[in-house]
Amino acid sequence: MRDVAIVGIGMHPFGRTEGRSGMEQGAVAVRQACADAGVRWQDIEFAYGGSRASGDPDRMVSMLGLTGLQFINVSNGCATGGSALFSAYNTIKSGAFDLGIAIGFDKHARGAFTPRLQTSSGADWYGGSGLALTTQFFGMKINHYMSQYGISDRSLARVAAKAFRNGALNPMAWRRKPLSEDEILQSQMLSYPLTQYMFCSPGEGGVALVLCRGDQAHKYSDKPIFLRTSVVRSRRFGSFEVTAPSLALEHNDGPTIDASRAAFELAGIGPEDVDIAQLQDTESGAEIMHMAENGFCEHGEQEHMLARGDTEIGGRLPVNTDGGCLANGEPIGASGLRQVYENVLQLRGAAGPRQVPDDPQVAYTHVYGAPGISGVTILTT
Amino acid sequence: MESVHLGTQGTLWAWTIQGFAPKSPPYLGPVADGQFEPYGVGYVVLPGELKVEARLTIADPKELQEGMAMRLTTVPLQTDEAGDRVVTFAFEPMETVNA
Repeated sequence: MRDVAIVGIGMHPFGRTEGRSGMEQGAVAVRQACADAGVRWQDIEFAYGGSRASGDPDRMVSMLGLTGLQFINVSNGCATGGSALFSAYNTIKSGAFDLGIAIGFDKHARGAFTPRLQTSSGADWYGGSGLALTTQFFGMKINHYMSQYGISDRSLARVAAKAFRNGALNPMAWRRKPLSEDEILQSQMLSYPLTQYMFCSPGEGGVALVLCRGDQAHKYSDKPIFLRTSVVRSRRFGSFEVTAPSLALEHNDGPTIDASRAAFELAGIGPEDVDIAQLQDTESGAEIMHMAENGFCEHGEQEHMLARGDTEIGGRLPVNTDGGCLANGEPIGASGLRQVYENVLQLRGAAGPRQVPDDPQVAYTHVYGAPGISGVTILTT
Repeated sequence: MESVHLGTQGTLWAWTIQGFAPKSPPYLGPVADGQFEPYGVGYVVLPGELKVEARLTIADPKELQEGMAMRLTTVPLQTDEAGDRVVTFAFEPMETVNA
């Protein structure tokens, strides 16, 4: 089977860009990624594009050039970017094409996402009752986890403070102002135990990644990064997921544990081999839980790991080195590809002031989102 | 689809406090400044059946504890244009927490 390499990366800054559509931000990312790989748009043989709120991605050919390429739109909730990457990976691995691109972009209105579940009668009793907010799920899950495994409010604040510190080092990030742990703890309580600065916000941004068959990678890049695996998993019966009016009594591990195990097995790599990880941090508790769910520690160990600074840049396992969702916001279609972009930069040794030291070789990404879906990738030099 | 009557008592499995006014619509309760009051939200285990998500009558973290016994009640949301009181289901503790 062929190897698959990432040879070009492009990003439109995350945050808020007035007067520029989500799709235009995606096109900026595509042009940058092509330039980074030293290819022209007309060289690209196929594209997978994902966007939740900014239109059908294949319409962007009118901005980039009507070359007739195979362009497939991907829509898979919070795993949209991961799904585009999975598709591109397998398209090259199968031998169907040699050079392609995965694209994700979005532009969301301000405020929390509020899914609406209508009953057969048309009445929205669920949202009407004041349930159905995604923030409530995150509050309940981490509150339950903290009481089970002895995680403190201080740890929640440590994660958020780290995100804004790392974001301050990232010119592409949205929130670039460091905040103290006390400022984070004292901000408005949104969904107990989570405060305002512990939550990410819906935002804007675009990312594109040029991929090619591994044996041709050196044609395009002095330092190709190899995509060892890309896995997406959906939930099983009994897992605890966002906006569920009821849950089964049986408890089942969520899709993150399934996706992580499958990815490590397929890549022939273990959690102990990973030098850097980007983990879904919709809120700071999510990063803590995802450290264990992805196999990087036992449940409860996070308390000491965070106190010791293990997940800082320069720590034993740096996590969310670009500031994660907390500092970058969450444009759904682009979020998963942002993580991969950051890992490529880090493995190239090109991450500037936030570069992880000692020449990292193995990098891991994880997204999680509604309605209970996880995507994992593993990259190596 | 078939309707099933669930039990009305259980134990609290997980909880949070809704600290900001939800978007309205869909929310039917008061959202204006000075009118919104934080409220509890949780999952209650109904033995032998399922965990059900519901409003809680308590909004103080010190008075909520996983495992506490809960029973079904209702909480008011609004009075509609016809003058009818609109309520939703909720759970209330059957005992107070010993802090």
